[in-house]
Amino acid sequence: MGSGGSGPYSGTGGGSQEHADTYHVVNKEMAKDKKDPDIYDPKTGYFRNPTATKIQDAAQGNAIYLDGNKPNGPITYVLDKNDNIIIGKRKNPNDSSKRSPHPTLIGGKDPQVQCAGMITFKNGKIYSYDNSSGHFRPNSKSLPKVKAALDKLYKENPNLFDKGSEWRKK
Amino acid sequence: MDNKEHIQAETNYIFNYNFSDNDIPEKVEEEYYDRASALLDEYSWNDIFNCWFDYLKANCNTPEEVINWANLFYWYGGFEKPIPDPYEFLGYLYFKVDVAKYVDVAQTVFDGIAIGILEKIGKVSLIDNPNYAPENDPEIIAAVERWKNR
Repeated sequence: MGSGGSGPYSGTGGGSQEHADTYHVVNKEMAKDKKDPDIYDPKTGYFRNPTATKIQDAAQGNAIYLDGNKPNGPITYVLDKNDNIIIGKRKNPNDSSKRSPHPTLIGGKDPQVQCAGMITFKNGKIYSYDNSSGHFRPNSKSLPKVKAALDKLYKENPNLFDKGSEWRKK
Repeated sequence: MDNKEHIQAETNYIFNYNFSDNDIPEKVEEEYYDRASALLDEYSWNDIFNCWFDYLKANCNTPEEVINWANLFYWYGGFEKPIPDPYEFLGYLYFKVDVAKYVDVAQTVFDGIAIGILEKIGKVSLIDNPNYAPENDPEIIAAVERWKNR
């Protein structure tokens, strides 16, 4: 996770999905999740991460607040079909030894996103972003859409971005 | 003041900061952040890391103090740097803090430190293992045991 957007990730397993306007959860991960009641319910699908929030709604003054605190670490995000960046903590409310995967930021049986990955926050400020989502495996060609959404947020308030981020680094 | 003393003095200053205090004025926040950045620019990371880790071991005894140190370590950029013995370092953090009891205040930053360090050396990939939880990592668990048995 560098100070800007990352290119294609170098995973050791399967690669990203082919570039598309939207992505479904990859079959392999969906199959695993369907066996885990702490992640997927047969009737309702993926639970909705209780910390999931639109990034612009999480801004208070010059920092982002999530679950009452300024996030300091990697936070899951998705770019939904309406160009909203939804962020949420990895914490799993059903079992603290597990994590909440990206589909839970949308919830439901077949959540779809334009992109997904991790946004690194440092003391409530955006530091970097990438496309590290094992569930959606979005193609890196979808990252410019995320950049555009973050650029829009930057125009609204540059102080939501860390001094070392690509937006503010000199 | 020689280099080691200067690194020590700066470490003592920048880690004497209550990260969870949301009322600290932004100007003061920036001052600490800039001072940490200046330290990282001026001296070798190995010397700085050794000092920071020694500070942790000498001064942070309660889980709350360790979590505060971890937040500062992350904020100051330590998670992006190579760690000489990553599992020993991570094992120490998880030895001092039972993250299951401090999920809301520690999980995100501890995940960030562990994943940041281990991704860099190819030990972890959130794409291949999206549910990765460091506290369940056998190598981190083994390192915790080594700290317990010292």
